[in-house]
Amino acid sequence: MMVAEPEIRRVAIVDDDPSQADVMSELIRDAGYEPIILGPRFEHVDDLVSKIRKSADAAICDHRLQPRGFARFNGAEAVAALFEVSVPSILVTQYIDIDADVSIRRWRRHVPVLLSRDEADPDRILQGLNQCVRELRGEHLASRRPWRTLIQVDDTNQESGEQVVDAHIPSWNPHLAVRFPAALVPPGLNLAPGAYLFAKVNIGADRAEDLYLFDFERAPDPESEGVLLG
Amino acid sequence: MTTEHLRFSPDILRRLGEELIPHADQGIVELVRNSYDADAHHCCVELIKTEKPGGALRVTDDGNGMKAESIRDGWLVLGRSVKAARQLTELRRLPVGDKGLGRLAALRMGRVARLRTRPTDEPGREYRLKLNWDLFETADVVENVPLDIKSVPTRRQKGTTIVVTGLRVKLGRREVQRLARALVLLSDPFNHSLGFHPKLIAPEFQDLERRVRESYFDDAEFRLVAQLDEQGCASARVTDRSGTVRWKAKHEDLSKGPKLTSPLYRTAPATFELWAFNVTGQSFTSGVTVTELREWLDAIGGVHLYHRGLRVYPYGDPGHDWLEMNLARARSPELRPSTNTSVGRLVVQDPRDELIQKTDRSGFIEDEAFTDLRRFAQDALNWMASERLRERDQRRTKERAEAPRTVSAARASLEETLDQLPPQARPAVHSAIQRLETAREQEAKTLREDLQLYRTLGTVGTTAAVFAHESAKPVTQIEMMGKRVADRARKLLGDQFAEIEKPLQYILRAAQALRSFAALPLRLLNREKRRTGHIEVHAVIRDALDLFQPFLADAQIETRIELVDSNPRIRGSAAAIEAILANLLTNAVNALSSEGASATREIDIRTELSGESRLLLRVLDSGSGIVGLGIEDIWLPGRTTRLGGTGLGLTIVRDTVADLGGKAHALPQSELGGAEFVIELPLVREE
Amino acid sequence: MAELTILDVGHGNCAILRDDRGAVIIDAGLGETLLEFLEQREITVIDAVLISHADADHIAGLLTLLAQEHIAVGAVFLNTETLRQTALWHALLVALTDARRRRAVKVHAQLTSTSSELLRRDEIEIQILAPSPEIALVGAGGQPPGDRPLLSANAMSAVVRIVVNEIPEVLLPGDLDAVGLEHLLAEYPEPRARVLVFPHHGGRPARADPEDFAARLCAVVRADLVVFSISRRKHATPQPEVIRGVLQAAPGAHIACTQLSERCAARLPSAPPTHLNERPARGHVGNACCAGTIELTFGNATPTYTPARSSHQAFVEREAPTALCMGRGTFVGHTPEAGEGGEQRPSRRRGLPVAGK
Repeated sequence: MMVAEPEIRRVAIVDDDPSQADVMSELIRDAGYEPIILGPRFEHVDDLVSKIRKSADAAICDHRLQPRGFARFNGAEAVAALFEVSVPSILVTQYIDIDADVSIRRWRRHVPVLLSRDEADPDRILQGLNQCVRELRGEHLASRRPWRTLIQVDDTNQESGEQVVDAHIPSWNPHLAVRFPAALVPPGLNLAPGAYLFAKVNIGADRAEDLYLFDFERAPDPESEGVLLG
Repeated sequence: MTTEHLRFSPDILRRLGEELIPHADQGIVELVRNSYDADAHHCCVELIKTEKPGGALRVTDDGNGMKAESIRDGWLVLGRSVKAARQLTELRRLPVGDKGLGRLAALRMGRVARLRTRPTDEPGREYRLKLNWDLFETADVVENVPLDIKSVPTRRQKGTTIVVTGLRVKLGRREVQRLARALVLLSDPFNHSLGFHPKLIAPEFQDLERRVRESYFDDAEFRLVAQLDEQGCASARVTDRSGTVRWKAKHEDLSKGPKLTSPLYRTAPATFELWAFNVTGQSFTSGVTVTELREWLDAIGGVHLYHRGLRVYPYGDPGHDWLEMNLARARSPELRPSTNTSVGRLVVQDPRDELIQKTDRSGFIEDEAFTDLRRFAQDALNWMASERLRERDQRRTKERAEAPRTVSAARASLEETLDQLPPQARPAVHSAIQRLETAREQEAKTLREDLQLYRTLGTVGTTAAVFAHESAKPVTQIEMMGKRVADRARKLLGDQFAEIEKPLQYILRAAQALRSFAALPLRLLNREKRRTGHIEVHAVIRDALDLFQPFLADAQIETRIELVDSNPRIRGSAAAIEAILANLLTNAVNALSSEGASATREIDIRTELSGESRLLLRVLDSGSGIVGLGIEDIWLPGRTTRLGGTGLGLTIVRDTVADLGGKAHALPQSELGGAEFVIELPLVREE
Repeated sequence: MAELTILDVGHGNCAILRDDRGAVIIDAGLGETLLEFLEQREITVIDAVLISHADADHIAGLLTLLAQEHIAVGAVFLNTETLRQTALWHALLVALTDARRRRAVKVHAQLTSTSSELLRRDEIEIQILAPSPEIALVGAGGQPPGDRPLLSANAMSAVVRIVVNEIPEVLLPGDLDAVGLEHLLAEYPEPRARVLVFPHHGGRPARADPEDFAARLCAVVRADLVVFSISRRKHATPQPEVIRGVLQAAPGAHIACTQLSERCAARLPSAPPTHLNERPARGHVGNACCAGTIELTFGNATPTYTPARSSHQAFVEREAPTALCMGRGTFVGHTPEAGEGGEQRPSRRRGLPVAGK
């Protein structure tokens, strides 16, 4: 049975830079939607979510919301919160190279579409919102579907004051380490260099910045699990 | 109506025993802890023919033993929380035993476990109990296996012996080593007042014990002692090798909460001591070598947690860096101790039962009491590191100020020495020293110039990055809006659109160029690119050329790439290849721009394979070649023939190529007329 | 009734054989396509996984396959690789240990012509033509007797042939190179098959001349369909010389690449192609498929397959202006080795380094 789609008419714009918000509203208008610029500031992500649910059908969020004191959370967190309440939304960032590994990857499981600012034209916005709607229905693109796989810790490091893990996801690309926040891994799992873990990962992703990881589990440790368990 | 009972299948024994506590050493340590609770002074663990399955394990102690009812109501009852029964033993020990699950795991290691115990209250009496696990295997429920406590007369002293025979697995060298380490460290080896001496009959144990008992504490560079009192208030001090107190901290210096608060630590009172060593070659007390020290630290390094006198597994074991010392050290290696360069203990009595051990005996549950205990220790380490950092900075500033003074003092002493020479030797020595001084002076001058140059370039780099970062948004904005204007104008103006199409295109093209210029420093700074891995050289070349394309187009330079038909990969980072290319390209562009009006302005980038395992990367230009500098001199820092050149580009190329295990050389004249640079890099095998 | 699906996994190999008895997987390249396929066909039991050799583009998917708790794998067959030191290989050993201990997967450390007996099915025969047990005993990196070239991991590729009702249908030779081909022909001078999945994705066969190698292989296999399992974005496969060799030795054969090579079309079609079958294919994203996933159905006199030759070739006609398989490519690649007059490349030390380092 076909379920009628809730039609998207109004798209909320979340951006700490008013001129960027204006630019975005022009793009949204050209994509055929009615733009609604939100502000002036948001203390908690729930405030933003409830405001968007009241005033719009979808949203497009800038990632860096903190520098100008616009919000105490970042856009990725907002988009993930919107995903939880089934509001299709797109994350946009100027600095994809810098933000993708840690502050975005942390929420990426629930961020279906990430666009760099220069990619965000009306066509991509239209496509992106459609993709969000499908993903909210549970229809993942091959590049977004998570699969349980074995990963190997390369190293742990510090980035922007946060502990991060560099790990290989051999089924995705055995030659490239992928960085993600250690906070995603439940405490008690071994993150020593060389340690193996199981995790669910969207191994169909094309680009490293599209990868997300969750449901980490202990994997057999070739070092210590010798004779006694054999 | 009959009364029913919940009954347990014998499988539950496996669940609660060996599956919950899989490592043999942990189970055996639990038996030893039971001996401690029985006020034993000595406890001896023997492994009999355990190098093959079928061996036996014997644990003997001189503790208070058990009466028949203690066996029945205590030893044989599994899973009862002992918290309710917390009271001091006669030797005033706080009990450390668990719910009996570790014991179960140890007893189940073999097919039969035998208990013989002689209670102190009933001299001349021994109680015996045999657990035959095979009977449990065949029984329907656990309760169906009857157990007999036999009573026999004895002439032996009080104490308990547990023998497990028919071990299901062998204990390999690795397990024995682990057990030895666990037992040596179990009873605080830094503190002999506990009066409890577990022992393992095995050569590994003796070696290790000897090594651990060696005390190198006096050789520690720093000793940190931090105290946490009943109220949760902390204090700390650091002493150096001479015993002098170097720094002291009050609670506010240690506990750092949000908004400058210093929250109290909500946990049990504790003492944290850490001995930090300098293992890189300071001098030690007579006879101690760095190797000995390292071996000792290997054996006992790390911060161990002692709860009521006994060590809690696995804190401080290899791979259990619970204070994250190694992580912190990775950030500032000079001033932070790691688990390989320090040893420490955190001693906590916990009279109020605030710390709760996990059921599987792998440490404490990470509740507030435990996390605050850890925070206390980490805060103390952080404080020590910041004090050391402050001291190092002061010292560096002072040394910089004193350096010239040191030189003149040295010179004065040289003059003095010179005066003591026989007069006829003086002139020759004097002029030799003069020559040396001139040469040194020259070298110092070059180094100072280099330093100036690097500082200037560093400043240019950071400023350029800020500029690029900030300009990216507005430039993207111009481009995006330009496209909107074009789209809408096309609709609104129809045929008249042609009139504004061209100017619009210029705006768009300029914006695109600007965006790629702005992307350049940011792309070069991208962390991902500095990560080492297998790098597809051709992909990096194409990316880098894309990046430089607007720049090259602007300079009216035609670039051609001819890449070998294969996918060569190197081990290194994309940033390294980019650094090589960016500097060679900049070099070529500069060569062409000093040409004036030349007919051809070309740069060629080529790759070819040399054998199966090496790649040749060539960059050629149509300038006038290398003139005015020796072909080897071009690689030296600061050598340039161009006004305003830094002379560092090719030095960076040479150093980067060397890092990748390759070679770089230059030809003064190429087929295009200008210089040719040939970079040879080792490849990884193609898949 | 049986089917063999040659999945478009990008650069790499993966094929699934299905018959009334169950399913067998031959190689498992990177990514998720295999898992999507298994889900689409509701396959949760896999009798065996055969691994030709342990390069990433043949084993990486096995790591994820073994991690799927709802899929039961009966056995894994692969050959010893003493010299391989890659992290992926080590990860695979960990995954195999886990699968063997916890899920009773049988791990066979051998996939040679002796293994054929263990793989016997009803009307379908899975033959392992190479390596021979003796060559496997020498092992990758080893030197076979008689001063023959050292064995690379590619030369050691297991060569799998699917025979249906005694008709040899499909040959899957992993990344077999010229050295491996000589060993194969020494045992089986005529390794016929109607379908050939061309080795090494149409890349270079180590030190041999690509055109000669392709021509020699096609002349002995005599296939009607030659498949290249490639990625548009990686490795610039297939090599024009390889295609030239195929066209020369098997002029009537249908050449089908899973993805549309950059060599054949600078740009991808703007709309999704209509000739592809319904199976998952890595190239669905961005319309990168040429023939996409190829599915063969056996059981009739002549096996049929999708996409059909006519519709695939119509697609190539339309979208691939420089299609190599149509003889449209210029065949002029920049190949420094191919000097004037096809002179012999300088001789080098023997053998290849086997592992990735």
